[in-house]
Amino acid sequence: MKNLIKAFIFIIILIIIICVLNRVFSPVGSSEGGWYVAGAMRDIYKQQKNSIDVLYVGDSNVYTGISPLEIYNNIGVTGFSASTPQQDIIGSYYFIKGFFKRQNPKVVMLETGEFFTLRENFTELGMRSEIDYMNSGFDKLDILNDKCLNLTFAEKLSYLFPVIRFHDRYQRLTEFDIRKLVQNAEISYKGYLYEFKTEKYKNKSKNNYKEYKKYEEEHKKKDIEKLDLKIPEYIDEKIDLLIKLCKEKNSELVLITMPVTDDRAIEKHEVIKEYAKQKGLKYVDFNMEIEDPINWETDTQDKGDHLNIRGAEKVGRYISKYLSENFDLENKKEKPEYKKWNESLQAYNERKKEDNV
Amino acid sequence: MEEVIKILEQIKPGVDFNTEENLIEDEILDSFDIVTLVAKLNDEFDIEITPADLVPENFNSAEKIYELVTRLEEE
Amino acid sequence: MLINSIEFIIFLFVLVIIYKLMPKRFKWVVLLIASYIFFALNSGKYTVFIILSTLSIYITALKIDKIGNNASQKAKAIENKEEKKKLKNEAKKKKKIVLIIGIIVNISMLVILKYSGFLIGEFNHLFKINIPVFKFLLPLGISYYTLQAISYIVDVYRGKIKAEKNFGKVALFLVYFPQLVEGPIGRFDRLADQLYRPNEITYKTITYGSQLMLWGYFKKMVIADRVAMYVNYVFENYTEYTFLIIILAIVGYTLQIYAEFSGGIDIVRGASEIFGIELDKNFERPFFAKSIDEFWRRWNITLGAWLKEYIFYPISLSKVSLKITSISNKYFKKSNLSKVSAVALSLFCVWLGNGIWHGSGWKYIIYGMYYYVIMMLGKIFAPLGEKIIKILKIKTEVFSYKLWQILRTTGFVCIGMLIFRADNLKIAFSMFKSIFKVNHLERIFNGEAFLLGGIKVQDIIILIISSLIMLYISIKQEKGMKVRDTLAKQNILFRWIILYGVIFSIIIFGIYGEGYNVQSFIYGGF
Repeated sequence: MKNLIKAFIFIIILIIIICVLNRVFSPVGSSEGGWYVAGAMRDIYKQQKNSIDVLYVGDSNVYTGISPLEIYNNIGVTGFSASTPQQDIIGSYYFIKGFFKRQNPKVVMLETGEFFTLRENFTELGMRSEIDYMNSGFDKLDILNDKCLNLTFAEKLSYLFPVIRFHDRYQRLTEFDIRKLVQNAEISYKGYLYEFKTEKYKNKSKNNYKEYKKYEEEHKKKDIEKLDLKIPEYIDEKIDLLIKLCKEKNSELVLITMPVTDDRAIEKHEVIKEYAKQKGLKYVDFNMEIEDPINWETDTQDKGDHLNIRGAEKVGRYISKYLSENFDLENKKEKPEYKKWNESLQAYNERKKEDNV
Repeated sequence: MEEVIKILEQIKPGVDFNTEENLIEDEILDSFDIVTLVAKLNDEFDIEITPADLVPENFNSAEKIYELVTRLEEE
Repeated sequence: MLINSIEFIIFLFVLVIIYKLMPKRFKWVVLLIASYIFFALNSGKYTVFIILSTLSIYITALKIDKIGNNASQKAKAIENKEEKKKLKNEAKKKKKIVLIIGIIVNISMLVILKYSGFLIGEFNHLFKINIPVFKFLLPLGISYYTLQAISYIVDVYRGKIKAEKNFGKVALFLVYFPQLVEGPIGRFDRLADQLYRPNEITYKTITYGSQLMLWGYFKKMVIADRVAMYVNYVFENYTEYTFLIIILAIVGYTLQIYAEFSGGIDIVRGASEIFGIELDKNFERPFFAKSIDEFWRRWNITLGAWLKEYIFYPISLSKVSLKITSISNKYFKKSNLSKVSAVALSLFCVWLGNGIWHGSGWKYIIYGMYYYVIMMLGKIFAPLGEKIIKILKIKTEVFSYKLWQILRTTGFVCIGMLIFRADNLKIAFSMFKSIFKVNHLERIFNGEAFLLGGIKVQDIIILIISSLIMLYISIKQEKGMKVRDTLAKQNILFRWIILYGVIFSIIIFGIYGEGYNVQSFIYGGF
């Protein structure tokens, strides 16, 4: 009996240390390379229950382009951006599913940036970032067992215990990796990754809105069948599931497309527009339907790949306008339960002021 | 018995074979010595020691070796 | 299923629970079924070969016993001593024939599966013909269980053991899973009882067993797999390097194979110990050996013992050998040479067998012959050496002399390892030659020489520390310390720190997973 207790305690301590090592060794949210950015949504599970009205889901374009606090500032609507680098639809699906367990968002905005990504082009960075962030055990098991991912036992194990996969990072550990154990997210921007830096796009005259108008005139009769762009089946499957899920939860799924400098943006727009129509979904494309376009000289942080804070401000205005026009969402600014939100907003605005935005 | 000890001393001089009781485990006799020893015993006593007899229990002391020899002589 | 895989740990875990819960009568059956599952997972349809092997020795042993029993029963009725003897000799002859058939069946399965490619290739080469070569996959552990199979029937023949009447039990003796991977080569008289009796799995067997396994994983994953990165790189690009780098690679390979092999044995012995079954030791700190003989009594012990009992002794005592011995006795009288010539033939067979057993190909034969020559020369010149020591008044009981003996032995072993590791003899020879060439000395001084094959400074530090730990433990063991007993006596805090230390060293510093090319992923896309 005594030995049994001893063995039990030994194993408990072993598990605790392994959990700590998992956090330390996982590069997600660390200072390392591209992994760093996933840190933006570190506090998704720390949000007050049922406090979020709009959920934004998608890849890097979302956490660099949608700042929920901007929208809160404009119209007092609370939101959270559950976005990770290269997030695929499978990750999005399980994020939304998991999110509904704690929150009751009225609107779920799903970004379409990865709608044409083939299953075989998933990257480890993308998969790790989304799965490692599914903190609570069951969401994680759900996604690991998803047939579409088709993970082997060893792979599943390495997602549950990232230390197995990243143990060799002992050579590159920094104090940051230790710090991320104890620290809560420094300042919560609700999943938005603040970036002030500007690096202008080489082709400064890019104007999606004007280009699209021209395109529409040229192609009066739209013929998207001819395009070689197709939404893969695995995405379609998950969209159907999402529509069902949102219906159950009395929420509405909206497809959005973030501003891009993509040469095929127009064609993609056409395909998605048609797709949304088929599925009976609202669709809003911030490229083609907004007259005050993104200025690709000042609003991008990396030569047109992602927006910076100025771009996010503009997108925030579009979304605020869109939400108030299409949905009846409560302004929470004056409510005492949302004091924390106002504090976050203040910190956010101060940061912007420092940067003269 | 004396003859056995005489042969043993030829093979490995400087060991007191009257008292040693762990010739194999203490590695006083290695497998080469055993082979030499067996060949000599076979010649000397006109017996046939087979591989089956080559177990430590039969070779750990001069006495044990002598027992083996007498047993085989009887057969 | 590899023994250094998570699947093996899970397999073991489940097996422990089932074994523990099973009623006493069926405990050995659990081991039998589990071992066959293990075997089949690794070998698939080749499982049939171990069944054939089992069947052959089962029948052979029973037959031998039956002949023996019949003869002694008949003998009882006969008074005449002469006739009795005749009857006995006849029975012996019959038994021998059955035994030889049994051996041939087993050896031929091994030869067909393992050596036919090499043999047919050489045959084609010799006669300029083209017999097609079949490529067989090898059933798991065939080199090991074939030797066990032979030892079983020979032991029955020699009357050392009785033939086992239960087929399942014979099957378990051959297929018992821990020893299939890389030995030790078990013997029926020591193993059988342990396998068939209902063992109690206790706190002690679990902790002691898993501690031994941990130590094995440490040696395999932290030391062997790490140094292998360097070794593989240099052996692949051997033409580019000379002198120190080649020496480092050879010594590194010796370290690698020791850590890997002895580590693997620790893992399987530990796993077996959990079930209260103690497998024979296969290593006893071989690099403390002061001579090549001694080295082979400490390295792969069970193979050496097998060769001694089933090749060396029978051939030494065979008529041919005895004749050579008595002739040489006449010629050389009491000189050392008579002793040497007595074993020349049998030793040759031992080392040929040792070489061939390690693999098919000329380099393995040369590998065996290399040790044969060293051993024979050692025997021949032993008296000369003693004389020199006497004349020069060299003290042989001091540390420095022992160290010299150890280093000399290790040096010879390392050269043997070079033959063993190099892709072919030509490469081995050319690498040996380049030890004595020196170029690019700057590589040594700017550290480049040590950082080959993806080895980083951190790896070198880890290698040095872990090798020192291994050395420290070996010295303690050599002085008679029982590591696990000593550890069990310590306070719980210290004991646990040590255990966690080993576990997490393996998890963090072990070489496994895809982690070793993580770097290439990270900047893959944003």
